[in-house]
Amino acid sequence: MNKINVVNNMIIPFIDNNVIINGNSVDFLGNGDYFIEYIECDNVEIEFNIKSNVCIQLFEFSGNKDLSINVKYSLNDNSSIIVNKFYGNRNTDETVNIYLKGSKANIKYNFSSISSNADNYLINIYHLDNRTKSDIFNRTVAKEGSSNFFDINSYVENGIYDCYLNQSTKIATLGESNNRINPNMFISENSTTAIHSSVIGSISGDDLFYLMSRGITYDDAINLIIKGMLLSNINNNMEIREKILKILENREVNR
Amino acid sequence: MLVIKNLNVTANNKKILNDFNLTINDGEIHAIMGPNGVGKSTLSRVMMGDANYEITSGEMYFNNDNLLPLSTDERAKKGIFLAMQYPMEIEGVSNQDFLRTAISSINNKRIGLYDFILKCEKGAEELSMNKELIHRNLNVGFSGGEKKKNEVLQIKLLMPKFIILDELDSGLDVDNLKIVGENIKKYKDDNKNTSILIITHHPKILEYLNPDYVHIMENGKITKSGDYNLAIEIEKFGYVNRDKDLTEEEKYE
Ligand SMILES: Nc1ncnc2c1ncn2[C@@H]1O[C@H](COP(=O)(O)OP(=O)(O)OP(=O)(O)O)[C@@H](O)[C@H]1O
Ligand SMILES: [Mg+2]
Repeated sequence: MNKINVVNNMIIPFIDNNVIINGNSVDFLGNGDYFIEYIECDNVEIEFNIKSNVCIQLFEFSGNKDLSINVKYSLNDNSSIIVNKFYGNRNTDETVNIYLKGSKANIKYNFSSISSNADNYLINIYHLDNRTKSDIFNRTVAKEGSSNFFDINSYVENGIYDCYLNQSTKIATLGESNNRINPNMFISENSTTAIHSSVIGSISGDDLFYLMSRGITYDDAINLIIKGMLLSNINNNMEIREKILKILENREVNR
Repeated sequence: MLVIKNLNVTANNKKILNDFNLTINDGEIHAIMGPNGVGKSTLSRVMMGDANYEITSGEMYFNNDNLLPLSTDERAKKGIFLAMQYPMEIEGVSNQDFLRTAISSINNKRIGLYDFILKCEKGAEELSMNKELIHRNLNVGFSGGEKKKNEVLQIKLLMPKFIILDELDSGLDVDNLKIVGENIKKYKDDNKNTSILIITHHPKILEYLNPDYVHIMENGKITKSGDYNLAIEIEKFGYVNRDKDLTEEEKYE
């Protein structure tokens, strides 16, 4: 897989025929999978542009201290992107803007995180052309004492027809934590299909009982459930799993 | 092996077990039958330490160790296993990760991958269980019978000393009940000291497992004990009519 590193808030240039990097913008000209890691970052601005007819899959990882990040995904005609993103930062403040600029542009956004302090997410999805599609899946494990705010806004103007909008956000809480999911769909077009679900809840006692009745300790059972929830939301292979488990481990240690 | 004395249990202020008494010795097989809602599953979950139930008084010992202060995983490590009436479906946790973690926890030693796969495949084969189920999410989308077979696979892998089967037979068709029954029989023959408590509504599973005692449970306690013939009697006459005098005709049936 091709790797793009963002170190100290800057994209490290690299050679790839299908990618043009210009300052903080990354243009994808051909199909491919890319692994993006945010290393020693605290304030990132980054923009991904996907050319017409191009399919991209991104794997984004961040296990920083305090990250403030502003990400744009712009998709042209017939292009598609699958974003698989895992965050285990101490604090996160993220704004995501998704522009579905060309007809049939399609995003699948799979986001998982484990939070220890304060995480704020603002996700805006603009359906700017016909038959565009967005699937937004957020899965968060909220540790004791953390706060998680999700504001998710999808927009479809009148006259932009046959769009599909899906938002699904789930927060599993471990002990007392402060969580809010605020899903909005601003739709002024009748041909739109829209689905959303938001769930905030603690880990099921019956699930824990089942695992523990097989000799698994409380901590290990919680870990199995957490990893399951976070990993199953992200397309993964051995390498991706290892990466995520390492970030999770660090979070356990650093709090 | 297992001693329960005057156990009283409530859940959400509802009294479920009522001065319950039961002793099961090493190697014995007991069956409990009883109408719906009398507290059979509650008993099994209380033995395993389900925090949803409050024990208001009574005692419970396993090999002379007091079980009450022990957590659920500690009881499992002592060798108690509960095959549940409704095994949980857990999204995102693969059956394989679960099984491997469970074996490693019970034995307090990480099992090697190769060893693990071999054991799983052997167990699945003996149970005529689709091997693909080992790679799926834990019980998610499993059929009723597949869930029950997965419980028995866990018995083979975790090698418990005391097994509680809560309606293992529900969800299994006749052929699969035979396979599962014979597998448990085999396990018992290989591990003579293992004791089994079977909770059931049907005598069929008892045909394979041959219980030493059959108990009837009503209103949170055992009201009658006997042998296999008691199960047959219940099957014929039900709980309500069983004490009525039999007609001459019925006696000779
Ligand atoms: N956590 C709980 N909170 C409240 N009531 C409960 C709880 N668990 C069980 N009960 C009630 O206790 C009674 C006994 O339930 P239990 O599941 O033990 O019955 P059972 O004998 O296993 O029945 P069945 O043969 O139908 O499986 C029922 O009336 C049930 O509704
Ligand atoms: Mg029951």
